[in-house]
Amino acid sequence: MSTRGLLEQLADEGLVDRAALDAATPLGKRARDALAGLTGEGLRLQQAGASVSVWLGALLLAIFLVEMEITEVVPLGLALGATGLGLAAALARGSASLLELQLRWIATIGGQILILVSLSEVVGDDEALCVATILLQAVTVWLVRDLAIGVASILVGAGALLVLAAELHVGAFGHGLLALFLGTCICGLWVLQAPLSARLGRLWQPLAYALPLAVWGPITIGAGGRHGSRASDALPMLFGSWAVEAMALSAGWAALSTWLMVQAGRERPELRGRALAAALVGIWLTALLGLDTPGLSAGLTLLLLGQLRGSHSLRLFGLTAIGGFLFFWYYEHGSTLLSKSIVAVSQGVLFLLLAGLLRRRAVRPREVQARPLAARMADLRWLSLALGLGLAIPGWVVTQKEQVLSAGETVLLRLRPVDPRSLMQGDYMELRYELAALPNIEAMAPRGALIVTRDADDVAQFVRVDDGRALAPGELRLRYHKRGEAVSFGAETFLFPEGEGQELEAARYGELAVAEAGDSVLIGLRDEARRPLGTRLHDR
Amino acid sequence: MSDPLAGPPLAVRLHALAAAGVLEPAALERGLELIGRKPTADAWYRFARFHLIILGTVLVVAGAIFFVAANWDVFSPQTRIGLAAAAMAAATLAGGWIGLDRLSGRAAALAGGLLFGPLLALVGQVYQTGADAFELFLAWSAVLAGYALATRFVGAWITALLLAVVTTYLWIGQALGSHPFATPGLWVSLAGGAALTALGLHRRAGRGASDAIGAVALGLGWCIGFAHGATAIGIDGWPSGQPLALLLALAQPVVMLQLGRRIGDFGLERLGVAALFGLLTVAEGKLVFDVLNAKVGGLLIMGLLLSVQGYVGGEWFRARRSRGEDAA
Repeated sequence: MSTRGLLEQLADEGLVDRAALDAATPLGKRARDALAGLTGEGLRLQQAGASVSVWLGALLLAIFLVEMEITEVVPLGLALGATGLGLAAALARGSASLLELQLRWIATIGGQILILVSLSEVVGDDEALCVATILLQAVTVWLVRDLAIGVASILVGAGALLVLAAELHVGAFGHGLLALFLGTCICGLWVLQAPLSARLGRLWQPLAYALPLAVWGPITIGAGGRHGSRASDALPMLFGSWAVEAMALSAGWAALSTWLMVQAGRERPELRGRALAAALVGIWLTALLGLDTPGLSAGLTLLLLGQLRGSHSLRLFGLTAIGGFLFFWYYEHGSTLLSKSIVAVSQGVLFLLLAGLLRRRAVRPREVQARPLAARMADLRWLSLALGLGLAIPGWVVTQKEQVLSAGETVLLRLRPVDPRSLMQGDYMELRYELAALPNIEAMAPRGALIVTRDADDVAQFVRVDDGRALAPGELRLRYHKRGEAVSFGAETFLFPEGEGQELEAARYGELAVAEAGDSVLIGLRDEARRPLGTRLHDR
Repeated sequence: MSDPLAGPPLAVRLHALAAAGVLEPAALERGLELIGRKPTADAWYRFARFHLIILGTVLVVAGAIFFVAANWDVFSPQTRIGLAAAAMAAATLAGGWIGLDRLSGRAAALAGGLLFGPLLALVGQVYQTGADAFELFLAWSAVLAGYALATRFVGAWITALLLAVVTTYLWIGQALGSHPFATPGLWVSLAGGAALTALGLHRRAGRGASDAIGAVALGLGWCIGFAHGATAIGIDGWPSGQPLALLLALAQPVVMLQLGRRIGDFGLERLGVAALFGLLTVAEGKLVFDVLNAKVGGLLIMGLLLSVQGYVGGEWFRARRSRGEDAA
């Protein structure tokens, strides 16, 4: 169906004046003007005109003018910038060629940079410059009748709002509130799209298209902004000042999701009743279980909005926001990994239970007929093979390490620690053994063994690189492989239970069990007086 | 000029007509419904079930990773390993029992494959197996490839592919003691990039642009190739391996252009042209700022060059797109 066909159908239903189909009438002309930049050729031009090369080129030309110190003469810089924006506005009237379209971008970017740099000469503080940037974006959207430039301006304006929030030190809760404010705007724009697009005119499209992209920033900053806050212990979602703020944010996002589902029920009456009630229970249970995770609720709201408006892009933004939130959530230290684990698993189980409930309760037809038992057994056979491989690898590692632990000698290696968080294994210390900094490492084989002896406290002393000679009494082999400028014994990290980091700062020795062949397992850490530190995983 | 009303009724066009006052609110609502922008109750059911299963699985696996990372010492190490292995086995067997033809079955089986990562991480944690995270990722990608074979689930293949790429770069740093932009790590990175590009192009030629595995492989190969080309151009002197890196980085977009033309894939051609223009920009920057040492004047020259480049690219885009549409 073409746009014309759709308009004809709407006219048949009495929803559109037939004059809109006739190019000779004022309404028909208005319809064609509105679609001028959105025809196949218009959209092609938009894609061709908005290239990274053009944006970078405009940026460099503007920086050139700034470097020529034109903006130091503030009236001149402002006049040139305003001329640029004016040129963009003039070029944006009616249809354009490729060159004119690219000039729109160059004039807009150049004009904005000249105005902002000129203003920075007279405006002292960063906060005022952020406000000026936001106002300048509003002027650009109003002045330049170009949808793509409008979307970019809204994004820049939202970015300036974020910087302003950071300058004002609003903190994690402030960023969360900002995200909630943007989320409310997005939901309002899309839920009330019909009345609002009529009321806001051409402002509706850039706002509705750009804000879902902009909200991702404050959601993420809200999650990561709690770094270093050590106010909470085991159950921060229930106690402490952050919990109250997080509860308020989660409740805010849940309220938005509720609005979306109620709207879905209005638009599709068949969704009302049990289905709608189950959705609302799910939304509020998610918020309740995840009082510490407003970012997850925010992503779910965007996901629901995408479904409500049949928009693949909005759904994708929602999923991206959820994925991004989970990633940053892992690295923030506001709550313990254990409590995060409980929250994530309980929310996951809730979702799976709801999926099961949906399958049982829904009057919709089942997706597929159950497969015959033979087919399922075949699936199980293949999966069992994969599972067998998956269990065999750790099984082999465990057996090997247990052998070293049961028969190995205790050796202490002097070290210098540092402490980050690993991708999947939690908090750890990166260990640097003094023994690993050997002279003439370049001449050593990539893999081999060092021969060491132990003093009365079991502290290892380097004797020589293993050259095949028999060991003298008291000597031990310690396998190594070369890594850059040092050698590695395969135990260069020590993973420890969350919360033990402070105690382990006193570590001065790594305690290894070393088997006869030279294989080793790191057992634990010891302090200067060789006393064991932290939790002991292997009592030998 | 073509009739603006001739094109398909995209949502963006209906929004523009509403903003211009041509469509009243009721007409916009009805128009959006007619073009499928108002999901039916069935669509809501499918959406809810799909996302509840996928997000539920992701959250449970994320929770398992968080639990392992917490390194909670209330349970003995053996109990923790046993629990993780039992969870992996239970999810895998549940997937097989439910049936791999169902989304819930595939999601459960995939969760089993993903839980192998936390299990191996746990073993590493208990036995302090060292800093070689690449071993963990290598084993994980191999096991997940086994799960992908069994489940025939595209998501599992993509995850296994991503894990394999992470493994390669961790291996370059941790086992080879090198860097992706310096030999010998460079050779591995180039081989990996070329293999990914070849896989992506092969699947694109055979299955089209919608093939997700091909798209991921091609995207990764493109990024690796471009990064190597840009580095080879920008680096001072030409250390060992950089000429070959540049050659491969130039060959990659040329092959994309050729193949794109042959199979009528405009997206592939665009990828090739984007890579060539990107490399050209880096070369121009090197020439203007490094060789000619132009400072402020260089900004003007580069600004003009990029603007012209943008125009030429835009004209190429229009010409190719029009020809493609005419042919269609």
